[in-house]
Amino acid sequence: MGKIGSENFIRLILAIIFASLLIVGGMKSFKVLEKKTNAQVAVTESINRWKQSYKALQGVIVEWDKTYVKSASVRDIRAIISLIDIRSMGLSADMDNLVLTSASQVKSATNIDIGLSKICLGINSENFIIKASTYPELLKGIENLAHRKDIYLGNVSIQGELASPQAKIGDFCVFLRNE
Amino acid sequence: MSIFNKIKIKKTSSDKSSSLPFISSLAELTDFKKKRAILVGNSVFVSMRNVKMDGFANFKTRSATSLINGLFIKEPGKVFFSVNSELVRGAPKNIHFAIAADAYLDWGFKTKGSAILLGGVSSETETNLQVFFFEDGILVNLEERSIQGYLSPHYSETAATLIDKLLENSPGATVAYAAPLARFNDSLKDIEYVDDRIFRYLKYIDINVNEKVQSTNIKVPVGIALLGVLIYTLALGKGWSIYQNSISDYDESIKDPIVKLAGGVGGSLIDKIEQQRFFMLQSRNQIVLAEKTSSLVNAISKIREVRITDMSVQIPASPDTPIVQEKPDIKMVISVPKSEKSALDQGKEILEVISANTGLNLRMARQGWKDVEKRRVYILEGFFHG
Repeated sequence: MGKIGSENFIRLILAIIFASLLIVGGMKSFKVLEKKTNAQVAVTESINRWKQSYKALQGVIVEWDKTYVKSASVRDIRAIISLIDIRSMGLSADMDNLVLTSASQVKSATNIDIGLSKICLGINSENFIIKASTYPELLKGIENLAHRKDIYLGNVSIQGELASPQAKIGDFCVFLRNE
Repeated sequence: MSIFNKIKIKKTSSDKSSSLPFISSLAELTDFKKKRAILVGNSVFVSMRNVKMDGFANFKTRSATSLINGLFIKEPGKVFFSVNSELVRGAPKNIHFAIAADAYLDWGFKTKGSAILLGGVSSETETNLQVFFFEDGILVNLEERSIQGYLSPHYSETAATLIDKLLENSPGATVAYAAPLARFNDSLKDIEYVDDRIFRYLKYIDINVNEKVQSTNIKVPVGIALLGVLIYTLALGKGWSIYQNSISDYDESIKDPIVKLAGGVGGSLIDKIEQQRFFMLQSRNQIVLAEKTSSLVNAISKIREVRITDMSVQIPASPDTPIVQEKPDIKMVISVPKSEKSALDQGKEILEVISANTGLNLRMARQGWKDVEKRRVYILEGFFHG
């Protein structure tokens, strides 16, 4: 059995070791790439989830834009007056003396800005006074105002025993969206 | 081509003599001057089964498919090459041998689809055919056939019949026949002849004097090493391509115009929109305010003689803001005709009536009344409940 060389045997062992190293190395590289890939896939997946949520909320965005007017398009008091359109609700007010009493940013229950400004108004730095021809009309007008999503009413004070029915609205504000 | 001199072995092909040294018996090795020989015919036995044939010693074993293909196929099978023991024992020491069938296998592994290769050796009197059946580069069957020698007039005819038979069983297969078989006549000119070139890469080994053929150790290390390299590159390649795919998926995903429109991906945007949704949905207290005001006014107006001087309604405190207990939601100033009763008594009466009519719990404000001419003015306050 002379020719079974220790040489060949050594060669065999070396080859096996070399191959094993490559295999292990290959597996390691594979694992590294695998990790990177998993990380990448995770990011891509979270992006996709975000997109899903965003798409689902598109309806909200449309509703939002419909409900509130963009503040940039309301340049002055006149614009606010026409936005409020007091007459359409069966009321009248001394709009010529309308003044801005305060402005603030609306915050959510979780205390984040929702991109909405609250512009509060008064007449001659007093409460916002509205009038109507009859009390029922006044009350109806107040209900109409209350139903406007872009208008805020803080409190209402009906003044009785006057020739002409009127009410004072403390905290009369308009909501405008920032974008 | 002078290295491969005139062939002393008369058994090989007729016209265009092959210049390769084909050996089919020990006798042919007596005057053999070359360093290498290719074993064919009866000097070898090829089988797909590990059968010990009498008088034959194991020469080599290989897989029934190529190295690469073998990685993808489970158990492709094996091919066992044995050589005549006499030859092994009597062979001169410095000659290296290869088996023709080895090259036939290489041809078959490279050929796509179904293929049949006729190999072997022809002598004047007989032809020993080895028929190799391949499917997609894997040897699936091996048969031995015997037909006339090349000098017989029926040589080609018989071969043709045989080939037809084979094609019956494997229609559409590629049929070829290989050196050192003698050429067929023109009737079979469509059958491809695989010439000496396939023998170019044969590996010649030293047959040991003993029956145990010690040989392949040198090949094995290289084989294993190559396998390692292959696996490495495959693993890397596979891993790499998976990674590349994930990157392109990401690119695709982020390219979506929605992302640009939203100004990038971020949790806060979703939150904001959610909050906007809540804001729009929340029950609007001011509607309650307006409705209650209306109903109050209406209710009280029905009470005879009560006149409303002022009716102030406040939005009921929202659940989050701290409820200031003292500040009432409703404050009204009413007047009634003065009655004979005391202000207090009359007040109580009025309270009851109004409560009954409105369902509210009211009380008199501090110093809540005064007389104004013929009427008594009361200041009442109350809370909404729920």
